[in-house]
Amino acid sequence: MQVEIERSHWSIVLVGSFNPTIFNPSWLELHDVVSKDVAAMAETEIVHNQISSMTLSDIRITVEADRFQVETKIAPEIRLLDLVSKVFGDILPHSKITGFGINKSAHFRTQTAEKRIELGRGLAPLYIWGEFGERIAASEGDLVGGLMSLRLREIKNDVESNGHLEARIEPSNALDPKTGILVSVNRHFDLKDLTEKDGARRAMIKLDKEFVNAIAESDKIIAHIAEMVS
Amino acid sequence: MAATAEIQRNPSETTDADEFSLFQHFLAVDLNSDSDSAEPSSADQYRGWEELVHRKILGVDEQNQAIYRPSPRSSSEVRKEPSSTGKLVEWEGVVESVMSDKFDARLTAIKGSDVDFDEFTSFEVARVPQDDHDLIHPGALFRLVVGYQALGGTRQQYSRLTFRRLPAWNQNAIDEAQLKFKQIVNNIEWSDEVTSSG
Repeated sequence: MQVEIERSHWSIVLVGSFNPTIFNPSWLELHDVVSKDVAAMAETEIVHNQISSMTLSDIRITVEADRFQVETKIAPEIRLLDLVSKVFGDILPHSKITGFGINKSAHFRTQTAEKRIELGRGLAPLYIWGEFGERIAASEGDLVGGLMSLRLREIKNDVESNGHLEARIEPSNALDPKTGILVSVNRHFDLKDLTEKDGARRAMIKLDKEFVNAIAESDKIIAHIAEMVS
Repeated sequence: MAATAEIQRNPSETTDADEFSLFQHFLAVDLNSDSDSAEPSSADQYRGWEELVHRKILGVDEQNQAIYRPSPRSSSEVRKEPSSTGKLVEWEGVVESVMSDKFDARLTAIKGSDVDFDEFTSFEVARVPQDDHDLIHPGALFRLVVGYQALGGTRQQYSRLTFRRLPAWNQNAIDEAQLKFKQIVNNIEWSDEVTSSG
């Protein structure tokens, strides 16, 4: 039986220098990044010189002095790219952005707890761990132990950037403590040979070029893991 | 190398979960308050307030030399919030023509569909949020998603038509597009050229 993705999450994280105080719903509406209705219904959690956090419809924005994050759980995720491109392509092109990440994560569950344990044992064989592994292998029922988190990274450098594709797999309590699985994929880019005058321009060009591919790569990894437990 | 991965906090780790609940609590009680009593009125109060902001809001715990970021949602919040499932079909649409109450569009499947040809259809303008009506014009791009979303323990079918708010064209992008176009045109092998050279 095919395992279905039950929850999805997408985000873009920019690394650089940002001024959190300027980010608020009215400012975003003023620059036509969001509609008037969305700005009016926005929930602003905090606007401070070190951090700003707000939720605009189903998109959440968190800005810190060195980090800008935009995330959603509702498709279409292309809205994240549009928002970031508009803010840093049109409005704040002089912001310094040195790198960025494109993230996708998904929650799904196995049909049985045994199936999830089988996946964990396959990804992290217990015999490697000596006595510790033997004790985990002998555990059962509510005391059964196993893999808690695994990260696998592929280095991906190109002419314009150094980066990586990293996948993380963990149990997902959000769905079910015994059968839930979370797979989270990060495609990270560190831009090479940046100069002061580059601002956000090079990051935006690269982000625009890579966003769809990065999400497709992430979906492929997630689908592969989901297929393994089907 | 700066990390840009999502930081997911595990609520079973008490430090993070506690920090998260304090973060939420502090925001709700003090920062969102309109009353003047939340404002520090003396230097000592100010220092205490600064420390509180550093520890609870910015997550800078100088005593333990740790930095806690404001957490993404906890597991229970993840369960409660609507989220797209894997079952969805998404199209990119281009507006072809606009009438008073509807518009015609060309749709290209992006994901979840094996259809590899463009489809043409009409949508009622009323289907688009009022605030986005000024975005409806020939050439405008939108996304149409039809799928299921999880909400709490249930799931419901949903369909969403979202007009894209794209950045303005800049000269670099126009130049690049023109360059690409020239390259494509230059690479075309015209049949009469092949014949005449042969």
